[in-house]
Amino acid sequence: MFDLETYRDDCSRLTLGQDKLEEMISVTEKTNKKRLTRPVRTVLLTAVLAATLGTAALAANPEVAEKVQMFFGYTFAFTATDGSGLEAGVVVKPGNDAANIIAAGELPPMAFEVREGRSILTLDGKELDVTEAMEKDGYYQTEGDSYTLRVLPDGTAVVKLDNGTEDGISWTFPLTAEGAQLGDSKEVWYGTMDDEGNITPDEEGVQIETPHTFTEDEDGNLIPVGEE
Amino acid sequence: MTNEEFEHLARNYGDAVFRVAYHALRSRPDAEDVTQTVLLKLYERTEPFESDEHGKAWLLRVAVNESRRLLSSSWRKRIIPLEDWDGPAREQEEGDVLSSIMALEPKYRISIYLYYYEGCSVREVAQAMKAGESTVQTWLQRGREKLRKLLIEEGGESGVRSGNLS
Repeated sequence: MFDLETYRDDCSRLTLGQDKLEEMISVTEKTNKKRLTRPVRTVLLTAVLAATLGTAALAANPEVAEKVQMFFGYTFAFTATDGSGLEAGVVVKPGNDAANIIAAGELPPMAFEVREGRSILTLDGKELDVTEAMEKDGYYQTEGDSYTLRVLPDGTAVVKLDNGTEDGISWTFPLTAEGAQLGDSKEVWYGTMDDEGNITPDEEGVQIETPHTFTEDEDGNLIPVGEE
Repeated sequence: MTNEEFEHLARNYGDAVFRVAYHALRSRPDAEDVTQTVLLKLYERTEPFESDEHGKAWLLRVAVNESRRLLSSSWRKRIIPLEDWDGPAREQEEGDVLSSIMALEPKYRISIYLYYYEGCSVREVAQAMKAGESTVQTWLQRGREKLRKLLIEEGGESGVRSGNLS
């Protein structure tokens, strides 16, 4: 039988355990904030970025790595793509050794064209005739595990990534008949985070024009390919 | 914050933080990571809390935030061939009822946990989850409905016992 009391009993048994909690308290108190000097933070920061964005070929801009350090101490965020989908939105908290992801999701390759009067959306290699949906609703919309994609009749795509909030994080970019993918849409933008971890992205983004590839060195630093 | 104040809040609400994270992530290691992160944030906090309840509300809010961040990124850490994936593994420590709740989407199970276990008001749940009160009410209602359907589909259950989870 299912009831609330049983649920509460189940939850009561779901504990850290006294030893684990005391260990966490001890670890926290022993953390020496002064230990995190700027060079150390930089390594941590880039290591987190590498882990977040993948250590294999990563399309981004060499400026990204510079910006990581240039704007170190400030909150920032950027998206990058590897040509197969949107990679991530990342925010790093100033003065902290932890990176915080505000939104992350993976989108399939996609393209849009009007062919013989029909609106054709190619999504993850599969062609969809979305003409009727567009005529009826003014757009075609589909949902993935962590995103909602809305395509407008002019080929504009609006993607909303689920970051656990009502609003999510949205991007708007064009899909063209030439098979443009999300790899063509890259942005750097900045935001601020309060002490509760709430992040407010700034409205203005910085466009990245030249894709680039990073690798990761043994210290976790992002190294643009060709400059190892 | 003094060590004594930190330890008091950590010992009183550490499990609550862990349970919030577990409801979001359904993974003990991930929930422990979130708990450690939240405790670090608590330790670094400089402003005093007005009361224990104030401290608890702050901890739950930060636990939701940190869980959400990890939840958003989890696809990256767990790349499993689709044919090999059969959904989140049930932890051994989950009872049957908790396991049913955990089959719901994170927003439903977190709101259910905060409302029904922690005894938060709809307003407090809304503040913790950064959502509107009407949204939380919708989540609670839909969560209950989904739970009923789930139990019916599993068979043998007549749904949520009337009057208990309503």
